[in-house]
Amino acid sequence: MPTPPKILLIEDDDDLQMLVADILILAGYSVVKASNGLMGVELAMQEAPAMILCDMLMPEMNGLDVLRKLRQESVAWSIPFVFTSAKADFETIERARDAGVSGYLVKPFTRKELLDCVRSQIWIPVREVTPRAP
Amino acid sequence: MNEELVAQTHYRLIEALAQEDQCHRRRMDHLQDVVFETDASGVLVYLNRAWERLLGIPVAESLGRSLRGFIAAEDHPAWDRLDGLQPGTWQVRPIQLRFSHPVSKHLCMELTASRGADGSWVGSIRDLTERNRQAEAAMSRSRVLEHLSTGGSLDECLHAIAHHITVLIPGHPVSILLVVEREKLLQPVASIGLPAFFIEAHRGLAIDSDLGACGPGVFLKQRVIIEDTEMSPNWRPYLALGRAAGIRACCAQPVFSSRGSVLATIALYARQPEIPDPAVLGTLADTARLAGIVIEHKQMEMQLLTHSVAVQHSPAAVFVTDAAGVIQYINPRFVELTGYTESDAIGRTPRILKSGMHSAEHYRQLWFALGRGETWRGEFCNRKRGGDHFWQSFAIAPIRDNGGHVTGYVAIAEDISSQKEVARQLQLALTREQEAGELKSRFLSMTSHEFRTPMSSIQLAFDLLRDLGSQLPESRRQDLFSRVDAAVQRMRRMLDASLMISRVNTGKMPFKPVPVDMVELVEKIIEECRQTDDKKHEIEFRCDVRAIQVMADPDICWNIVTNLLRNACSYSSACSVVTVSLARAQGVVTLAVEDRGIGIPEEDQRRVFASFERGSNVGSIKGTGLGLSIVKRLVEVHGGGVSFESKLGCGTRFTISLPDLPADVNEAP
Repeated sequence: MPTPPKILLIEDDDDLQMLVADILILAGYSVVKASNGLMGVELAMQEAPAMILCDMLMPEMNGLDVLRKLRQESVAWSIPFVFTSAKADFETIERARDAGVSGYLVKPFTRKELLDCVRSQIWIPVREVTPRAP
Repeated sequence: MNEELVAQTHYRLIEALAQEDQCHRRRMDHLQDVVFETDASGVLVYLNRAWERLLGIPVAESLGRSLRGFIAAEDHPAWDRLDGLQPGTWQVRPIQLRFSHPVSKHLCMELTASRGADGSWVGSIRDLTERNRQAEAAMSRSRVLEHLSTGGSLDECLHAIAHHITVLIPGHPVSILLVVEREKLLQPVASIGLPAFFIEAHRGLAIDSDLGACGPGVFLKQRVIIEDTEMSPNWRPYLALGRAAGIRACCAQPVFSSRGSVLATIALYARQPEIPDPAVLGTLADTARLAGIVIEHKQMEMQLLTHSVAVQHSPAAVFVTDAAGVIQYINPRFVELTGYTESDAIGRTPRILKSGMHSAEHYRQLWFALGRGETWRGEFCNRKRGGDHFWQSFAIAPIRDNGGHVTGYVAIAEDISSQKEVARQLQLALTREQEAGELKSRFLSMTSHEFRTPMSSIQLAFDLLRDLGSQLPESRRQDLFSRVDAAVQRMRRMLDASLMISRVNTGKMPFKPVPVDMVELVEKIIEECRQTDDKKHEIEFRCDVRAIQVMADPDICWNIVTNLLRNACSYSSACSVVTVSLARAQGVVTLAVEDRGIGIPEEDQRRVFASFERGSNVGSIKGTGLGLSIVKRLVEVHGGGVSFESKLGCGTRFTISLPDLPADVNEAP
C-alpha cells in the first residue's frame, strides 16, 4: 500500500480546519495543516503535497496571494490548488481562475462535495480508515 | 377887397384847420385805444373808430349819449366819484372800469382822462380784456403748478388744468378723461361747463377706434375733431346725449407721456359746429403737454409711494447705496435682520456685514456683473451686528440715471439661514441614509460571508455524524456536537451584533435614561464576566467612591462595558490582569478597561471602530469584527466619546466618557 496522498489544508478558522482535516483523514488522506497564508506557502514548499485546499479570505496573506506565489515556484507550480471560499461572485472566481486555480469549493460545502472535489484532483486511490478515539 | 381877403384867409384857415382835423381824426382812428371827448355834461362829442371795434357800437349811435351810460352799472360809483371832482385841467390816474358790451357782458377797460376847466373830459380807453385774460391764464397756470408742487391730488391738478383751458379758450366746455386699466377704458376726472349726466355717460367708456372723439383720439394717438356732431357718424350713438348737453362740436386732444403712450385725452366741446382755429389747437396741444407732465409726475409719485411702502414693508432686507457703495437707505427688515440701525448703517459701506467667509473671487464676480450693468444674484453669508453669521440670498442691481450713468446700487436680500439649515440637515440626513445604505449592503455581503464559515463547520460536523456517526467513538461525537454548538453560538452572536448595529445606524436604538448606579452596574458585569471567562483573568475594579448615581440607559451601558471587557479578556493571555476603573469628574463619568494583551498594530488603529475590521494580529482568536463598532455607536447614542491607547504586545486601554446626565430628583431612589 503506497503512502496516502498528502493534502495541505490552509484555513484560519480552527473549527473548520479541524473538521475538514478529520473528514480527509477518515477518507484515507494524510493532512498537513496551516492556519495562515505564510505558513501555507512554507509548508507547500517543504511538504510537496499532492493537493492544496486553501481558504480565500485570511489575515496577513490571502488565498489568492498564496496561489500566485506558489504558481511561481518551480517545486509547487503544478500542485492542484482548490479554493474553499465564502465568496462565490463571478469576479472572484474569474480572478482565481486567472491565477491558475484548479477547483473552487463554495462554503458551506458538504462532506460529499469536499471528497468529490479532492478525488477529482487526486487520482491515487485511497482506503478509508477506521475512526479511532483521538 | 380887404373883406374878401379876410374872408378868403378865414376860409383858407378853416379849410386848413378842417384838413388838419381830418388828418388828426385819421390818425386817431388808427389808434388801438379809444379816444373820447365829452362836453361839460359828460355827453360824448368825439369818439375814434376804436370805440366801435371795442364796444361793438357804431360811433354815430354813441355820440350824443352820456359816457356814463356805457359804463357797467357796478362801476358807476367809481365814475361818479371821478366826475364829481372839481373841474380843472388835470390828469386822472388810469382807473379800471367795466364797460357794457352787447355780446360779452362786460369789458374791462382802463380809462385815462384829463378834465378841462369847463368840466369836459378828454381821454383814452384801453381794452384790458386781453391783458386780464393773460394775467388770468398766468394765474391759472401757476395754480396748476402750485397744485403739483404742494402735493395736490391728480384730480385737483387736472381740475386746475381744465380751468386753465377754459381761461385760455373761453366759452368752451372742457373735460379731461384719464386712460385707465391698461389703456382699455376712459375715466372723466375733471370737467367744466358740462352737465353731470354727460360726464357720467363717459365714465368707464371703452376705448374704441370709431366711437365719439375721445376714444379714437387715444386709439389713433392723434387729435380727432368732430366739426358737427349732427353730421359725424362717429357721434351717432351719442347724438341724444350731445343734444341734451348742448354740444355740437368736439375736439379730442390726446395727452402723451414722455414715452409716447397716451395717458389721457382732453375733450374741448363747442355749442356750435366749428373747427377750432390753429391758435386754439396750439393752446390745446400746449395744455396737453402740461397735463402729460402732471399726470406722469403724479403717477410716478404714486408709483414711488407704492414702491416705498412696498420696500418699507418688504419681508426682504433692502438697502440702497450710492455709486461709491456708501449706504443711503435701509428698510426696517434690514434693521431687524442685521441689527444695524439707520444711524449705524447709513453713511457706511456694506462691508460692515462682511463675514470673511467668501473668497475674493466671489466679490470679483459680483462687481463684474454690476460693472456690466447686470443684476447679480447669489448668496452671501453675512455677519450681524452681534457677530452671528446668517445666510442671505441677494439680488444686487445698479441704478442708472437717464444718461446711463450708475448712480448707485440697490440690494435686496432674503434671509435663507433657515433654508440653508434645512438643506444642511437634509444633506446630512441624505449622507447618513447613503452611509446606512452602503453599510447595510456591505453588511449583507459581509455577514453572508462571515456566516458561511460557521455554516461549513455545522454542515461538515453534521455530515460526519450522519455518515460515520456509528463508527465514531462517543468522545469524537461529543466533540462534533460541541463544534456545531460553538458555530451556532458564533452565528447567533454575529446576528445579534448585526441587528444591534443596524438599529443604531437607523436611529432605532431606544435611549431611555433612568437613574443608574454605575458602580453597581460595572460590578455586576465584572462578576458575570468572571464566571464565563475560561482564561481566568484577574479582573481588577478601581473606583474611589461607593456609588455613582447618573441618568443613563442601563442596557446601553451594559452592552458597552460587556463588549470592552470581553475584548480585554479575549485578546490577552490567560490569568493576566484586566483593570476596570470608574470615576466621575466635572460632569463626566469615565470608564476605562485596560488589558495586558496583544495590543493593536499601529497600522490597524485607524480602522479600530469600523465594522468587520479586525486586527491583523488576532490569529485564531474568534471575533465578529463588530464589537468596537457597536461600542462606538452606543457611546455616541449616549452622547459620550470613546478613545483608546494601545501598544503592540503590551496591551490596550479603552476609555469611554459619558456625560453625567442630571439625575431627575423625583425619580431618584
